[in-house]
Amino acid sequence: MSADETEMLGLFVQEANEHLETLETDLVRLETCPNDAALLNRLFRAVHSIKGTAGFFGLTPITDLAHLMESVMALLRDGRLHSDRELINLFLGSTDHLQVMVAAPDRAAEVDTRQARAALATRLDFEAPAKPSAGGAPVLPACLRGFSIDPELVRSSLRHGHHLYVIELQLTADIEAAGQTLLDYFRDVESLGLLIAAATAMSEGGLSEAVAGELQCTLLFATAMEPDLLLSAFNLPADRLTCPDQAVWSEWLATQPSLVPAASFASSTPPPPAAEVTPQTPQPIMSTPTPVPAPADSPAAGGPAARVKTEETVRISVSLLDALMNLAGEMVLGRNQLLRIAAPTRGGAVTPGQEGLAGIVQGISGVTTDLQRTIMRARLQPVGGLFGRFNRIVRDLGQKLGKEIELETVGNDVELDRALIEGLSDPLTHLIRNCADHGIEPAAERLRLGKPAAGKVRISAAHLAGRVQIEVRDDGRGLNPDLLKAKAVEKGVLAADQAARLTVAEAWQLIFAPGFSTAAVVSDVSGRGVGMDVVKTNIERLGGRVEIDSVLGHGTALIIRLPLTLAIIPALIVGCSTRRFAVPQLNLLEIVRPSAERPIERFGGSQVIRLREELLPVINLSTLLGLPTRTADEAPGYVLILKLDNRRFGLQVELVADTEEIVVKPLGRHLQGTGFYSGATLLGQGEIALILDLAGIAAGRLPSAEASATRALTREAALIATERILLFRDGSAETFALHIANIGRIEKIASSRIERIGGHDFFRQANGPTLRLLRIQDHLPVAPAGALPAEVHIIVPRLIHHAVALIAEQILDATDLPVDSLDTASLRGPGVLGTASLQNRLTVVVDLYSLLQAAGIDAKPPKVGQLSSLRVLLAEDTAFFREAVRRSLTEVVGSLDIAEDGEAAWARLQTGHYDVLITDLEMPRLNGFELTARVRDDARLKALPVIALSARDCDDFHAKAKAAGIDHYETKLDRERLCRALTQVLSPH
Amino acid sequence: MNALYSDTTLTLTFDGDLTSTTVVSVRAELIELLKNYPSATALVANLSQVGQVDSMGLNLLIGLYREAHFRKIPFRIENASPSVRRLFGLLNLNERFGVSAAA
Repeated sequence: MSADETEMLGLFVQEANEHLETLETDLVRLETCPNDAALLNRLFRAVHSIKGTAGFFGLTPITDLAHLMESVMALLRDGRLHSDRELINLFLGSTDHLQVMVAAPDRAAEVDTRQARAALATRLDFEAPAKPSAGGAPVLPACLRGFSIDPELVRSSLRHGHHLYVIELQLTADIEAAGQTLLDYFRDVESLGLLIAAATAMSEGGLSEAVAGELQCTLLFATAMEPDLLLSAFNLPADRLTCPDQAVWSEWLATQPSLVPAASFASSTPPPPAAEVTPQTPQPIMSTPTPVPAPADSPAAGGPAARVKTEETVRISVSLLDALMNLAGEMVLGRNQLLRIAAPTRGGAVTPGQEGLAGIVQGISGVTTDLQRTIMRARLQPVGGLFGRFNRIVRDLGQKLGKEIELETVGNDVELDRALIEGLSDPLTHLIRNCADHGIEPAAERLRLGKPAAGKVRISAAHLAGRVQIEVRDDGRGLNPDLLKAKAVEKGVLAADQAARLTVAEAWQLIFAPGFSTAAVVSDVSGRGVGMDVVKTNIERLGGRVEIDSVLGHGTALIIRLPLTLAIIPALIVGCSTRRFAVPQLNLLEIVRPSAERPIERFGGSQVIRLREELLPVINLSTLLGLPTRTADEAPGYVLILKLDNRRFGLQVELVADTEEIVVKPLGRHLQGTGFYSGATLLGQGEIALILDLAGIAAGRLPSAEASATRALTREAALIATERILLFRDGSAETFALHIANIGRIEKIASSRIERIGGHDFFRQANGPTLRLLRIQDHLPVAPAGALPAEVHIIVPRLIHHAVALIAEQILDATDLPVDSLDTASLRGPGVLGTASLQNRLTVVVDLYSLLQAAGIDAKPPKVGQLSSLRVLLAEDTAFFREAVRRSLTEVVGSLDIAEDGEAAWARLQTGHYDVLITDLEMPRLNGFELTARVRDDARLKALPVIALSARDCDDFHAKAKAAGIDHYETKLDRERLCRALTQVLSPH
Repeated sequence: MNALYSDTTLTLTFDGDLTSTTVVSVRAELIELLKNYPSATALVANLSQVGQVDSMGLNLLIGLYREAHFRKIPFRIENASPSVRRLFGLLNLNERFGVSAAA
């Protein structure tokens, strides 16, 4: 095959694939709209085009199958056959064969299409009585109905001024009786004109009636010969020849798709005067038929409108577009370099001889940007083509799974870069399969649930804020978080306690964990646990992310957000050591500069940085890549705060250089395996920068990713489970911390206003009682400080019914104390709750109640003795509060058992005997409300008094607590009120 | 005539031309043969030995096609010579006979 032929064949494959794609979509649509004339025409045209071009290349296996499909479609189009599901299946199966053959035309003969062809051939004989076709398409006169007519041949014949005759032949009597063989006779016929179509009468009888009867054949024949000459040449009597009215052809052709560009009709025979167009019925044979012009409003007429239409689009090969895109990319790089060179020096001075250069460069820059955008636009394709493929998938899945599923596509016109469309095909197919398999319930179940029998899968595309959002939504079962958690534990994806802590949204994310599947039965549709993690990875590779929204019982939506293109992306150029790297702007939230106030801290083996209320893990790029790192004395550089799906993390770099629109180039093979880079680019200075693959960098390095891909663990790792504390100094070298909940207010006062009476310090408030002032160093085993500075702070506690305040020389910070970091063993004593390492400082966490006791201020609740026989169970998940309550109550009550959450408390209640239950309200596994509800439902326990402790003091919680059957609602850390509540429990009256 | 029943497909191999001189006896033979295979799910006519088909031969093949149609099973013709295939093509029978137009 010559190079030209190979290229032509390539074009055929490309074009045929486009037709096949339309074909599949339209066939599925035909099932619901069997009478849509436009649809039937489109189907016919697609198959006809494939047949025509395949014939040109001599690809007979393709031509044969396409011809049969076309013939059956012609019957549908002419209203002589009615479509049904079986026929659609047959067409779809045949389309599959065509796809296989088109994909490898040289091996088309190896595809066994015999069954399909035989089945189609059978259909040709199942003609229904002719009826007026939908959409008002004219029905051909009886003499023409038996034919499968190619409108192009009719158009061409008419254009050449040929007459169209219908000739009826009796093969035995007319031909063989005259001593001619059928083949010889037809050879003669074909020498006189063009045999457009033939129809052989299929006798009604079966085999037993065969042989005996005459075999009738009707021909549609185009020739320049006049009727009398033709009859003579064919040796036929006059009544065997009919000439259909030209108006019939005109009307029929107007409804037929045109396959030839309108311009090619320009040279057609000029139409005769209207007055000559007279015959109304099938013509008597001896009259002279008039050549029929194409109707003026048909595409064949070649009117101005049709001509303009052909000029609107032109087919361009993808490789040419890619080459243009590459060139535009190179130009962008050149532009960037030019901008850098032509930029005025720092002082704004212009190099002599380069006056005006800046303006020219700006102009070139603008044109380059426009050029690049325009070429990028040329690469865009509507997603409708991609969405269209899913019709077939959903239909086949519905049949296979025995479910009724409707697919709705929205936003088919939204355009996406072809690279994205290609990349989306597999993930979307998987999501849709999942919807059909896991999401949509069987019809019977849906009806029982009051839903319509047919489930709906809706796939939509929209442009949102410079990005493309694609959503796959079903109205099925929805995701069941409990089921997901149970499965995660069973599969070993998560430990039971980790799973218990997940929120609903975090549980949904489990579907993306590798090897995770909740399908009870593994089907060949989905449910092998392979896929959703791959879907997510693939989407992330496209620079996008996937989000989940689900309502149990009502359905699930998977939302994919994507950049508009992959080829050129805005990026931040950063540096480490001597290297430059590009970070996609898409992922960048902000840049922070570590400082003494906001240092990068070490915690539990990881680096973290505090950003507003959150501690974020930090990855040091130099360390990660094995580059020389800066010493502690050098500037810490910058921390890029990056967002990756739901996770946020910091990336520490040494230098932030610039933002640039970078052209993404593929990576060399040797760098592909590192997992740190997604591509490379050339910077304005001519340097090469590697584009960081943030998903790859985060994978396995963020504390969260080690255990699973769930957000919950990120949160845990980022130490959000913290308690808010105030850090202060009292003049000694020590740092103290006090829980914010203990603090009523902080005031700054002049030390001169502190009065010393009887060995104690006092401060007289202008509007309130005189406060007794305590210096922590006087009561705790810490190094004493010197004299007070001129001004000090006083910390006035709340929840203490004594006029007392702590002196603080310096208020350092309000910060978060990680709940699990409190060390209660190293430093013990009155006034000390424990120690913790905070902001690189060892901090003493103050126990306010015992400090007051140590200071001789009676902070104990009255009548402690009454409570000394009380057996108390405490349910509290936070270590800090467990310790605080333990210290408050150990010496007050008879016994105190502590459970780490509601479920553990419930287990203890089953075996132990308690007089009162003190419970936190917000706990994993089983919260305080649920625990109380269980208690109230239990015959043995229902009278057990329950005291709730909560950090929240809101009406909503009060109401919920009351509804759940909680007897007392107290605020955490208010020991006096807690003791009072216990007293009331003991003697309710 | 030879009949091969394999995997519920009945393949009939004709052993000579299908013309006015042969079709009557062939038809009788066929009718008898088909009675023996009521559960065939596909009918194949193998024309590898057939050099010529005239109008009566065509009628016989159409009768066979109708027979398959009555039974609602697919029918196809295999191994027809180029000239026979050309005849089928001229008369628009290729599709019904499941014949490829390939040479």
